[in-house]
Amino acid sequence: MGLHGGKLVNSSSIDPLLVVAHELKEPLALIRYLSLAISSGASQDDDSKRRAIEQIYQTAERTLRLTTNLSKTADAQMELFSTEAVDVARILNDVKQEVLPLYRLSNREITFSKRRQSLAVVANYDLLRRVIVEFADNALHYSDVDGMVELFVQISSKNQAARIGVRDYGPALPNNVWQGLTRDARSIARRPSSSGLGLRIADSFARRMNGRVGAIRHRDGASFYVELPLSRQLSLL
Amino acid sequence: MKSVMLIDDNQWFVQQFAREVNQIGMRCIYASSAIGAIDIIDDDRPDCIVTDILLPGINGVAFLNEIASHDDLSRIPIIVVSSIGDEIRGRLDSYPVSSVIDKSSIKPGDISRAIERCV
Repeated sequence: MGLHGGKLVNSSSIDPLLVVAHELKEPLALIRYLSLAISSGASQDDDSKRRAIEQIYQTAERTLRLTTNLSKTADAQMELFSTEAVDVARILNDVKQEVLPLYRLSNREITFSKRRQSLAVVANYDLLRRVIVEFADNALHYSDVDGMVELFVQISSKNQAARIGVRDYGPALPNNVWQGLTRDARSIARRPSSSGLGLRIADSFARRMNGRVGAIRHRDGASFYVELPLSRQLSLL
Repeated sequence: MKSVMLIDDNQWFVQQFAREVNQIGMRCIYASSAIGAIDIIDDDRPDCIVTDILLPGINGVAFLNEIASHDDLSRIPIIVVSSIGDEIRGRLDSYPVSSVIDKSSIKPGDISRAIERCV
């Protein structure tokens, strides 16, 4: 059909406010539908009922996380948060444990290969955890069914900073779309047809830790990461 | 066996819609994006398409544009199911859309009934 190459991408723009509305309405609509399916008997056997209830719970958790983070970005007290040396392996492991139930329920795998050498960054533990969880939520949405998602850490900027992020394996984005996304720093956190709400929250939190959010396009997916200064207390860990 | 192509990036909605499709004796073809659907549609042509609008990569309106531009594909009935269905309904008049269902008011059975009406 000749669609590849992205010729259709700009032909039908949708109001960004509609896209944000979609991101907030979609989980509520799913909760409503699943509740009706259970009460009407459409989910007939015990196993599918249990699964629907777990999906309702996980959808609510994910949406509450998004809205809590959203309100946190507007919290003036955020200016007062403290930074410390944060063990990267520990935080990635904590993130993995937090999102694992949601991933399992979605038939996705999330992996993290621990580095041999300990690594610490200057960050606020709570904010950094929220940033990585937002990346993981985003990756879950965009990764292929039965696909793998990887938590990673890389040293960058002449050993002065670390990139901590999430790599997904999903649909490749046409070149012109990707260029449009990365044209300015704030839009790097977006993908087409996504409000990028979660990733914008991640961007806001990263800035408050003197970090920055970045993205890498792969032929079979994307990586989103936060770059933070390495801690000089590395040797103490 | 007749088939329905489900295009939605929300896997849990897809599971529910697929159950409805199977209950009316039809086969499901699944794509999580418009690009994925395009990859499949030439080899496995469905009797009906059920699509979301906000999809990763290329949105559903652009997908409808493409379908409408091909004589053979434009005859496939399309059902739009989206959480912005009500807001976007007016923009879909020029496409071969059989019905628009807003996800925020959808009930179990709505998808299968809409499919049965147009296939």
